[in-house]
Amino acid sequence: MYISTIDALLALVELALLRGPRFVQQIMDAKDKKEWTADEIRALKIYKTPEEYFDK
Amino acid sequence: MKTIMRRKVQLCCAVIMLLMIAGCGAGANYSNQTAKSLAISKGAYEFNMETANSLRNQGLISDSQKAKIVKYANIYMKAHNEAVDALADYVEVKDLPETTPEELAAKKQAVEDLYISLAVKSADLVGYIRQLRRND
Repeated sequence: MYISTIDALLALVELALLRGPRFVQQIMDAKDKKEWTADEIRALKIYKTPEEYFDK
Repeated sequence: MKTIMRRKVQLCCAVIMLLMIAGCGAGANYSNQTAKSLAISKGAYEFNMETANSLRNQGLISDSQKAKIVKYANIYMKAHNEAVDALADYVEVKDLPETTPEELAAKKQAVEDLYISLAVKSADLVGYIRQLRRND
């Protein structure tokens, strides 16, 4: 679990570096947001299943 | 030597990233901070699954590895969506006059429990895909 957590942390960093502007923009949009409504929070749900990614 | 330098750069980047995330929540209330973290969690899921698909298209992932990714990703997705629902439920009732402090505390506790669960479960997918990328 320890190694896995370190890996996850490093992967998060790589995520920002590799995904670049789009990911940073997502963070900045979230940062600028003043108050989240329940509907806006529900929009954060993940709808695309893992199988759908591999269907491409 | 090269590996040590690479590790140091990775750790420096990790600190920068943590500060960025902490900065997102500075001065915001509890539900806003958690919502921002969940937005990042969704971005991490999408990125990792796109990476997995890319590795698959390059023939770098076997069927058994793909099955393991799908298993971890389904667990991640379920944990993420449960945390999102719990936070939305909390936000819906937090300002209602009929909500008792006990009810509010229970909903907040549910968010925290699911959020911790998400953090633990997401590490399996993220760590595994990172391991596969290192091997390619």
